[in-house]
Amino acid sequence: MKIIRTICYSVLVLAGTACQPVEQAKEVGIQPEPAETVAAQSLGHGQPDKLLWGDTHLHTSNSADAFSFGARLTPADAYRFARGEEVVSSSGLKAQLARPLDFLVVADHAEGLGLSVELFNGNPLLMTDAKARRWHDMLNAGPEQSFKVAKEMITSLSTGTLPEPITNPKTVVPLLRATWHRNTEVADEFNTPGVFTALIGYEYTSVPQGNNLHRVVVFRDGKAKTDQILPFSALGSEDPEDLWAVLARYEQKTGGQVLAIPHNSNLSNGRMFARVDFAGEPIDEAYATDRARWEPLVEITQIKGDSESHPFLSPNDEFAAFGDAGWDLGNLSLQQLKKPEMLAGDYVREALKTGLDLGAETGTNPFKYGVIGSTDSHTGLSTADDNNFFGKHADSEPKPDRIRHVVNGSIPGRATRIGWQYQAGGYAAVWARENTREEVWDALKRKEVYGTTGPRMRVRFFGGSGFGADDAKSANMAGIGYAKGVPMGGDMELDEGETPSFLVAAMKDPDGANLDRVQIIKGWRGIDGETYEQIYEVNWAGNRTLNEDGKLSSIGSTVNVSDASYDNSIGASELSSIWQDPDFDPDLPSFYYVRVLEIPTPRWPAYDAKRFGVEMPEGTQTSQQERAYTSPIWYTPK
Amino acid sequence: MASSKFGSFFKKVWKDPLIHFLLLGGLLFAMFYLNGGAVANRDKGIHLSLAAQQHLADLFEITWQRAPTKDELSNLIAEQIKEEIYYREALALGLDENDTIVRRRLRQKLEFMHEDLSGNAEPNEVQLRHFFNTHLDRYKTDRVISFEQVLISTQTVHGTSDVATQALRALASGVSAGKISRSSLLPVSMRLETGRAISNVFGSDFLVGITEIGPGEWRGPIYSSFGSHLVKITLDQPSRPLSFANARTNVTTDFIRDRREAAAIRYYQDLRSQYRITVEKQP
Repeated sequence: MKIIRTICYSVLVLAGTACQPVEQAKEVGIQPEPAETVAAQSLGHGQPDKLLWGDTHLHTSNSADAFSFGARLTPADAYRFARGEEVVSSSGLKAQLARPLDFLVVADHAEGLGLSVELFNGNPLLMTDAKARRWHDMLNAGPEQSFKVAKEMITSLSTGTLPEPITNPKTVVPLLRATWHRNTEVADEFNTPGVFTALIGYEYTSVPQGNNLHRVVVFRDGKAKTDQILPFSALGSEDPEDLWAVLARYEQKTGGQVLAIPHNSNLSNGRMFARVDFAGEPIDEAYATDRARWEPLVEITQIKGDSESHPFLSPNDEFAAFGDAGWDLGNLSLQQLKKPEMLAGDYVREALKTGLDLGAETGTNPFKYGVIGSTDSHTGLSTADDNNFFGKHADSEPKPDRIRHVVNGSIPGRATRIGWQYQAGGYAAVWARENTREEVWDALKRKEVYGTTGPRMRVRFFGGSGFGADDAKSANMAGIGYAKGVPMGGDMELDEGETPSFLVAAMKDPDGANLDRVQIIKGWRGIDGETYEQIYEVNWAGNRTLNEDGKLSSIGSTVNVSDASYDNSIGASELSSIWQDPDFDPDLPSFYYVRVLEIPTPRWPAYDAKRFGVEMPEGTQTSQQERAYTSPIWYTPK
Repeated sequence: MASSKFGSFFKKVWKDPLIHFLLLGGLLFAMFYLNGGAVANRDKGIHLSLAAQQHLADLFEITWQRAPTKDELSNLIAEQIKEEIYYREALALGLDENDTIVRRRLRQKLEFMHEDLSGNAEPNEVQLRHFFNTHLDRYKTDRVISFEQVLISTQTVHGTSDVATQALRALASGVSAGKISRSSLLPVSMRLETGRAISNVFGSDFLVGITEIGPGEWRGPIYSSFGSHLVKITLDQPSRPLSFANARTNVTTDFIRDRREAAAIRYYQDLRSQYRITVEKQP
């Protein structure tokens, strides 16, 4: 324990990040951008009219666990793949994205950044320790031994038995610094304003007793500023408040800007959105202010499950169970199994509701989260489509038996996660004016972003007052949206007596499946101090009518599982409309977000079964309705 | 010029203690080889000059940003002596042979050394212009297209040609596009966009369709997954060569990279030609 504490202080000092009061953030506004790239179709008011697609959470061989599981692709390979070039995957398969991404954050684990590569190469600074030498030999002895190292590393991390040189800042800090500087250099090299954005970032991997409190840290800045610090490691402190202090120090020191995005709240066993802080004290205004300031977004969906909703919390939502199977058995490591009372701190919809309540109590809403999706892939390959799923780790790249793999940490007979439960998913959609670091980051910061489970639906969402029915059909729909309201991620301003109305428009993925329906999900805090939610069916395909409970019948399915195919003979290519809240109460704080559902399509195990001619294990989910979740629009009573 | 080359080479060497270690080791190995001894070279003794001690202190300082204390320095010296003894004994036992790590590091070191000696000098204007002129295909703008479109049907299958013919006739007679179009969120026009941007909005089928028709009057139907469209291309600007001034930064990067790669290939081929290599075939 003493060693760990020593590192904490050393890393803090070396990173120039001793704890200091957090400086209040200055507002990030929309600033004009030099028009050096090809002229964009303009809305005439400098409003964001470019929809950019990306992944804010990708690991490469520089992540200690990824390397040990066989990942050999570097950040440069990851950028090449993301921008559309063909690369050879770690398992030797040629891989290329059918549709390139517009931006990418390489977010390798800060803990032991670049370390596995050094162990593998036998860096003499590490080879002074017997365990490290053994790991070196095992990493060089083929995949099976290499996977064992990954597992031993994870165990050593959680039991505090890492080899001495790895916990010794004198050894590790120079290695960490070298890797970090190489990363920032490569990011700058691949960052091409107007064409492809490479944002600099890392992952802070806090996981107390196996409860996932991970955050991805994303910088607005380039190498010149980010080289002035080192990634903050959970070996230094597992308390996210210490991370925020470090981020504040970064901004003070460099004049740069940075934010953090929590993920896999579904594996936190109630801790990610708890009503108490890390030490167990009730959340107060200072905490709420810091959290809202540093964490504008949460990653709502990714390979290790979907964190939007759970049937236990939302029994009236027939779509709530998406991406929950297996992941809701316990925390990240399965050291502790899930109890129902933990779920409220695990899922984003509930957190948005809790946030309204804490906001009323403390004066500031700590969970005022916009949402994005991302992959958290550990292969260097950002793939989110079911027909090109390249797996979580390099050992689950396409191969016949991967749908049956038992996921690491499973306890046979008690809590087992199976390969097919991985979700091929998670992309971030960003409304910006140009594809630059500044524009993408500013959109993340102001929450004008949304998440999808993989498909690239185009979604607009504005809240305000006075929208007319024709506005949803106008060619200048977005222009009207900005003029009469605020976009996703914003706060509605209403005059006395006004009822909020919303402009919501969704288009299918131009190369994907049709849409089933558009829903608005509302949460509010009643005068009784309880929180509530309601799902409104806003617009849908086909001749269906709402029943007396306001429910809509199923769209049906065209999925042929054995052929891993579907067709667009059902569903709509676009759905747009104006919606007014029929139950609006100006005295109650509330939020509204949009959920767009596609018609059913095959899941990746169905593609695998067809491609490899294998049987799927019993219980495999073979089709699903993929979806987009927008950042909410909030209403706060004056 | 020469001093900066060597400066950056040595910087790279000092940054990596293992390279330093191997450099020293290489020398010792050479001595050992010349002596032809099968036992460790014990007779020569071990002498650490003041300069060598200073060197250890310098290395320490590069890593830790401060001079070593007296104790630290004597530890460094003791470690260095131990390392040399073990190193000589290990060489005598032939432990360096067929060790993957040693081989990999030696190869890497040679590559680093050669790379540094062969290629980071800033190219001059003449070299850059020559490179630019011989690689013109690399320095071009993207093809960009401006167009207007109307969605005339949500049918994505063929069989909408009657609707298209009627709509085309109406457009030709001066009816505005807005009157004909079905309401849609699709933009009615895009200006100066690349194929990738167009395909992100309208899909890949539509892109293929419009890249074939060329500028002029309204044409169609063009199919996308949203339905059938009529399209009027107002500008189709093919990929154009960049001027040298606009391409200069990329030319410089490419020139240096190409020169380095070419030098590495030449260097290897030169070495390889001095070996007689046979690879046994499967019987």
